[in-house]
Amino acid sequence: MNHHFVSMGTVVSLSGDLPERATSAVENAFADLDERFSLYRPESEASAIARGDLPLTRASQEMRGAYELAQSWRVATEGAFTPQRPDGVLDLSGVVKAMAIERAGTVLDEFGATHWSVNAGGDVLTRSAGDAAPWVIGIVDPSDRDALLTQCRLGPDARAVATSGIAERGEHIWRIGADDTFAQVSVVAPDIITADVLATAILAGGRHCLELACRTWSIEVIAVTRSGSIFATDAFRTTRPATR
Amino acid sequence: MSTRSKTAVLLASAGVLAAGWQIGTAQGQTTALSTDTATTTTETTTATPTATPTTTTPTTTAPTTTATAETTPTTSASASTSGGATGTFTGATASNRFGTVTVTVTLKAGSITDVSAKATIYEQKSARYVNMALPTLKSEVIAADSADVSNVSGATYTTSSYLTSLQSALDKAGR
Repeated sequence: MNHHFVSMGTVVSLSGDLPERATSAVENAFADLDERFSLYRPESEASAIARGDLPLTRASQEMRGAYELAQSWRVATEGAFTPQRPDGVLDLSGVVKAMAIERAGTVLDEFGATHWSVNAGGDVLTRSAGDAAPWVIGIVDPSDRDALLTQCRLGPDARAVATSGIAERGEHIWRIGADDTFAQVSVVAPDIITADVLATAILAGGRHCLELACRTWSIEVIAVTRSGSIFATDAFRTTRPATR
Repeated sequence: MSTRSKTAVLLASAGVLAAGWQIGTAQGQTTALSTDTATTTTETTTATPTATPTTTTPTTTAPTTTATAETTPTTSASASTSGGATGTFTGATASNRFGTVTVTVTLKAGSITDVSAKATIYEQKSARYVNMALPTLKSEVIAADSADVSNVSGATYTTSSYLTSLQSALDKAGR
């Protein structure tokens, strides 16, 4: 079964075994977070903080929780991931979508779903039933978004994949040469928040952050530079080192 | 030292440096790890110079900060009629605090056809990162089998760009 809806400026696709009424509960989970955290809604709590009308210390527990989460990731990634926009405005959208996906997953679990996927704008969390085939997720080729660069399999130990890229911002100019800043980074992780945050952090922090992330977390990564070079951990490679 | 030899040394040094950096995070026990030949080929393609064939013995000393690579012919090194040496030359194994590196250069009629580096690192844990320290070829990346793919991960699409996305196509197909 398949269901999709619009939230947070993108489209959320649900598939797998989806119990009746579970889909509307998932929609509500997304809507609740969007209502509080959207900077596009003038009436949201996040907008009140951005305007300076509401100090963070007096914000809701949910807002402060998201802020703490984002700050802890900022420290863990040595600043590569940050909840602050360049203009200084607090922007928690980097964790809020992942929080919504995670919450959607909890809702599906609570409704008794055993095999499902939630895909919000290209960030995917899955639950695999023991006997079912693992979820196979295609990863978009940043140089041709109608094609797939590669794929990954998600199972109980690696339930999530998230991709960050510059393609959507119209910066897909492929330069010839040694430009090794990343154009697209995909991270497979045990949970969606780790996957999403680290994909963003590596895109922003480059090779240094890539090294840090690979050494610190149990993740698989495939990153494509603006000049088209590919950096990939073993799960994405056909060739493995001779001796391990 | 001939231009060709210098080039070989330069490339060997580059190989040593690249491989040295590649193992840049290891400490602890020894784990053998071969670098990816195809990856090295990529490097070679970028760096392959037009070698001037001259007749000199292919014995050089690499002036590198990372390692001293004494290149000695290990296989049929010979000066061909065109004047360039042919053969595979393996440098001395250099070690640093991360592990050891051995660089091999293959020449054909004075032109470098291949450079490979064999690295030994001291810690298994670093292997995952080591493998991605150098770029890989697109042909070495696992291809997507669209018949199996149920979802697509990519940079966040907007509500309108979703309509033309691969994910939209999968949703329509009820996958």
